[in-house]
Amino acid sequence: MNVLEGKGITKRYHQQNITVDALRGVDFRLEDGEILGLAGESGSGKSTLLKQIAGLETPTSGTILLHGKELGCRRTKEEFRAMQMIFQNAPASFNPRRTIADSISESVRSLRGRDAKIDEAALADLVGLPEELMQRYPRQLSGGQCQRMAIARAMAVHPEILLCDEITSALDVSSQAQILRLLADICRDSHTSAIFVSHDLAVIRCLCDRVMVMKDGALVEEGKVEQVIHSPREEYTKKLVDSVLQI
Amino acid sequence: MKKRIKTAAHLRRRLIVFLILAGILVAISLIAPLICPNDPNETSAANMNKAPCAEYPFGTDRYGRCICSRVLMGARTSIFSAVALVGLTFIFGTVLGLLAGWYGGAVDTIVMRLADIMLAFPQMVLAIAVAGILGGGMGNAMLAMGITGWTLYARLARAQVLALKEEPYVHAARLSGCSAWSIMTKTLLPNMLGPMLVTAATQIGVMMIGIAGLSFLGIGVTEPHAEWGSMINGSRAYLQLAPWAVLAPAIATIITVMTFNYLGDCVRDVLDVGVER
Repeated sequence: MNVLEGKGITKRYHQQNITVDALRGVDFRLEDGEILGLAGESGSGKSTLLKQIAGLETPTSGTILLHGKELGCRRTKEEFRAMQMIFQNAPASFNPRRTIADSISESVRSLRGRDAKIDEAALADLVGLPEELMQRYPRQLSGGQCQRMAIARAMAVHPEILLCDEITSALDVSSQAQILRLLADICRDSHTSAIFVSHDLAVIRCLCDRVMVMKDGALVEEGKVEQVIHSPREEYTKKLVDSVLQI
Repeated sequence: MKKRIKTAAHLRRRLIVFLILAGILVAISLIAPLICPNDPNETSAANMNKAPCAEYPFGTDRYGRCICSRVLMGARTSIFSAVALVGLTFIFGTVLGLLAGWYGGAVDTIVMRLADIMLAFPQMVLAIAVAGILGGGMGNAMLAMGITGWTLYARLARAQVLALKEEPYVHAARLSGCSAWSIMTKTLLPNMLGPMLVTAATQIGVMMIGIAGLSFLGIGVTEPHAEWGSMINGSRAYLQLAPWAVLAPAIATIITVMTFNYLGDCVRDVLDVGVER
């Protein structure tokens, strides 16, 4: 069953006399409990698609359906709660003037009601960090710790879908592996679906069930991860796979 | 690392020193009526243009009024009018800039074009015109200065919002379902307040000179109210005969403006180091 579906999503940006088609009629579906990878080179439209799904931007045309219900321009709190985004630059995704606990509390209170409280110990335990780090400011944590806290913030509102935008690209290899393992465990244990954007097919291979390959704002190939990596149909996907193998 | 910590501590010490100095000036202006050695408005034909002495520490002016008492009472007018003016223009400009930056579109166009119109006139010329039309007095002088003063904060606030709007933590706040009001007050405002406050602190001196300038030109505070600009204006004809009558309010203006300007610089330096840390 599809939890999330997109039909003919286009996004056109106008700047002065220049028009850029960032998305050209993209169709996608995300099944219950599935981790979907979005791969492609820089500028292929992966992050733009994620922004339309999250509600940070409104598509020029096309529809996004959550549990079969179309999402409008103005999202309800319940729709925001259902989809939580984790950003590439985790330290910058927390308000620098607030502690991590304050930032998470604000998000929880906003989405689950003013009286909602967070269980700091449980959240810290979920992402494998000591509870006392919750009282620190983002600048007092490492990139990996911040990314774990970003995952904790997303999970604090019990979302149905996690939207991960290049969440390991700013981390060292060791932290990358830890974050990927953590995300896989969390998605499996809480039966949460996820869309995982990355330009790195090796990372997608580790985590995702299915992958969509994008080029110039359009979908070029879609399928099971192993199938797409081992027997790509499109020339662009072959080059993308080869580039990973060369590295 | 040790050097940076030392520098940060040094900057904080400097900030404390200037905060204390500014505090002393504000305190003096608050308790001025209690510490005046003489009645600031009492004239005396026998004591006209008297040189500084024990009874009149800064001498007397052309009407025999105690300069020291008038400088102390003038502090109340000059400092409070400048602080109040900066406070009002800061709030008004920041709110407009915040709304313009956040909502964009028509709101942005209206606010920024209004600011452009105000900035098309030189501030002092417009202030003189407004004060000339409305007449003298502290209220009108403040209105004359404030009519263009808000544009500085509106433009700065708008620029800050446009930059902060694209920060991931603002995106995160939006995706947390926070209302526009909540994002503006809890997320944007605290993060843009540093540079805004620095500008406001340095503007206290500018506004003080502006109001004193209007009074000097005879379209600000009028006699017999004590105000440093009008005191300089009133006594400049007697500069060779009684230089103390001009020097005392002029030095008071210089010291106060410098103190508030240095305070603004210190706030900026400390905030810069804070961001670095």
